[in-house]
Amino acid sequence: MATLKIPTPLRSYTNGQAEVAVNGDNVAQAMEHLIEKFPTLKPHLYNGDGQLRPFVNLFVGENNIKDLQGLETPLDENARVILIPSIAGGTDGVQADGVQTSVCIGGCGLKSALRDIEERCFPV
Amino acid sequence: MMLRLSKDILTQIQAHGEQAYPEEGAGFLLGSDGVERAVKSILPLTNSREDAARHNRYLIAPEDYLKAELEADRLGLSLIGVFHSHPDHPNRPSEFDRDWAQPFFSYIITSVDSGKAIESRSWRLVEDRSQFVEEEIQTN
Repeated sequence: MATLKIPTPLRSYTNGQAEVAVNGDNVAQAMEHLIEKFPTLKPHLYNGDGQLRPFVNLFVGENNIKDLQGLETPLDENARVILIPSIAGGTDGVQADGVQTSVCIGGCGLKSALRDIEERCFPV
Repeated sequence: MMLRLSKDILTQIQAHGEQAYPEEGAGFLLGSDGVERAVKSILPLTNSREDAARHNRYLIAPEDYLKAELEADRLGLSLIGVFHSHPDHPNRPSEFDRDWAQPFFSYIITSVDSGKAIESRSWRLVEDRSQFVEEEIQTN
């Protein structure tokens, strides 16, 4: 089974678990299994159209799935998937835009941060 | 609902909003969530939005989120929320805030008018994500 790391604000929906074992040949199936296990998570991860909310970032190992094959990114038995929310907000104004969610990918320390957290979460 | 924090931490939060003015400033609230929710420390962060949007948007990059979780673990605390400023706007959550809000988190918003922090209020997203409700801030 793959392991999926849950961020702090969502752990109240996983009985406090920071890591959840999930089945799936790819990220989409792993997320489906997560929702099967913890249905109350769904509205906080998916919008009404069944699409992942824009603040949901998923990494397999050190790589954002946006840079891989998206939700079709394959997973092996020992895959480590990390769910990271983008934290964003602001005042209502003329700019009804989206948010850059990957401004630092591969550039300013995300990979080292992921390695740090993986060492804590998935000790060898 | 109630959020407890020291006057010193509230001062730090408001000073961060003033320093960031006219842009939005933001950071994490670290603390505990038991019988009462209490902020024990804050982690001010750099606004990762592109220059042109920082006056009305903030973004905490994924790497900063991960570092904040590690820092909370190191201190024996939890991430319990986010603070940010609204330059020259009221300290009420916007629709944009709601769209991007996380459950569970406390959101402290500080209104900063002409560079001066005016007031901070705290909010939590309701379970169906339809609105925020205010929680009382108690300082000691």
